[in-house]
Amino acid sequence: MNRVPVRLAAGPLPELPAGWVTLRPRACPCCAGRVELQIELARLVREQKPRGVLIEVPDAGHLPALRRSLAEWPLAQYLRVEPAD
Amino acid sequence: MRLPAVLHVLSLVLLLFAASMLVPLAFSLVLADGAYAAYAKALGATLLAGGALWLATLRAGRELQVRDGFLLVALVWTVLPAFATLPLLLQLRELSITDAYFEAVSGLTASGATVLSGLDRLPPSLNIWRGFMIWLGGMGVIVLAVAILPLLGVGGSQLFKAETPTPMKDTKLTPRIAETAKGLWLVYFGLTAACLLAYRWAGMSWLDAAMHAFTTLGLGGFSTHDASYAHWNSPKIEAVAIVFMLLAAINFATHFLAWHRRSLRVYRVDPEAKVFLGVVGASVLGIAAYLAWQGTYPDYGTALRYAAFNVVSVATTTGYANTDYNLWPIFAPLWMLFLCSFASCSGSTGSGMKMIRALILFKQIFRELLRIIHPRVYNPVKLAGQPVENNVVFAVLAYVFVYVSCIIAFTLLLALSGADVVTAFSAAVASMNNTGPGLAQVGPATTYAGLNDFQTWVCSFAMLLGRLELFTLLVVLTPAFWRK
Repeated sequence: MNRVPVRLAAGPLPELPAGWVTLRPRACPCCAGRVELQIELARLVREQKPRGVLIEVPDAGHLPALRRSLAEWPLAQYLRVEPAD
Repeated sequence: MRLPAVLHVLSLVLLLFAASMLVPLAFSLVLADGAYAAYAKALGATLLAGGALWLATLRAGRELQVRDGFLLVALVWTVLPAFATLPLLLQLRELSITDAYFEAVSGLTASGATVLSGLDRLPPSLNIWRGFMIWLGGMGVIVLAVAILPLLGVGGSQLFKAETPTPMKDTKLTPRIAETAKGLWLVYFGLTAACLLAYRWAGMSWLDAAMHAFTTLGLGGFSTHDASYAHWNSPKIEAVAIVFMLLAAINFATHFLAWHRRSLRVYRVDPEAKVFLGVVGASVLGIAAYLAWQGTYPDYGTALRYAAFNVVSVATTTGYANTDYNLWPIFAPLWMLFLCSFASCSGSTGSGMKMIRALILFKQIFRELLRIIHPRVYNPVKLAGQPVENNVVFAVLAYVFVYVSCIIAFTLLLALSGADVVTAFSAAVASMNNTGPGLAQVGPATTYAGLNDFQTWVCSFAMLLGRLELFTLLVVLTPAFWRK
């Protein structure tokens, strides 16, 4: 499966290339909301076929755990986290 | 109704089930994973309950009537999961009774839907117990389908009977249920051993090979890894799984005859096996082409690999995954769910309405069309060249009507209790057909743990209903059944 690039942001939103979409998880994406994020991402990738996804989290404390989630199955199978600038 | 006699047989089944807990206990002791106490306590409790029931019903008669058969089958598949929960509850203290019963029902109905995650970190013997439940469930299902349901005449299941005079079943397998069961179990055991060796050859560890051989032949999708078959990312392992899933979804009576006669001709004349392999094969090629065309995979070869594994897995009601097919364009997983509703053959460990009923339904549609054009023509529904009696056709029609009604009812119940429509529908279909994973919240990359307690019980009931061919369980729930 072609892997969709993902960027993570916890502060001011960077400018996005054309075809990218932003996802704001409704629950904490690294613990309780992990499954919900998984479902949201699957639906977004299947239905919108974005060129890339920006996941915006409320604070930077979530980022390390979120990065680990994205590196595991099943998310790693179709998402590729771009290195932080 | 001879309740004491039914309970006496149930007590014997319970005692045998207690003995089956020796398997995970032995694994636990050999692997020293620290879980042996859970099995020892569960074994003791099951032995005690079975023994007490056996003593209390010792003076009961031994003869069972047809009506008793319904109650016995319903009791076996509802009481056994209660005892099967014990090792889970004793080992995983945070697991609720609702979730544990769901997991046990899922195992013994050979569904493979799970509420557990972190499977890679579970004591290995607990995964063996989960897999062994599916294998035992498969053994029960084969005898239920080939020997018991035809006697009860559930939903046209007279057709499943090994003694049915069709070309593929033109001789009695063996004269008695016990002998028939032994013959079929021998094939089941042999195929399980072959599957274990094939998995080991393909690169699995012995432990993984054992667990997955149990679940492949039982056609339940439990795995030892959260990532299921994506854990290995091995086309070789996937190919082994595909071959054995297809074998397990074909009537075990056909395998038995093929082995008995040392001939592959029986597969050619089995009306179900041909259509099953044709429909699944065409679906694999079609979905692979569709996925390549949609750009889900870069080339047809890659699309074929993923389509072959996941389509066969869902169509045979197994439930393994080597990718999150939830991400595929929605047509593909919907077609797979449609397939799992009817593709498996009768007398296999697969579930759903069964290919034989789908064939009769399909032929009945054409019979009706022909009747409209030529009202006086005599055109019986035929299967393998033999006419099928009208009462069997009507039983099949009633079965399909109840089947569809149940899926609608379960979908509505799940939606009513808060599930989104894709989750509700797919969970209802996947539970009724004992497939395991559905879509969205209960997709192949997630578990059923996100459902609330009510929804979990609904799915547990749906799995039991689907596994017991609907009427076996429904008839026990009618007041008329209990009247003298």
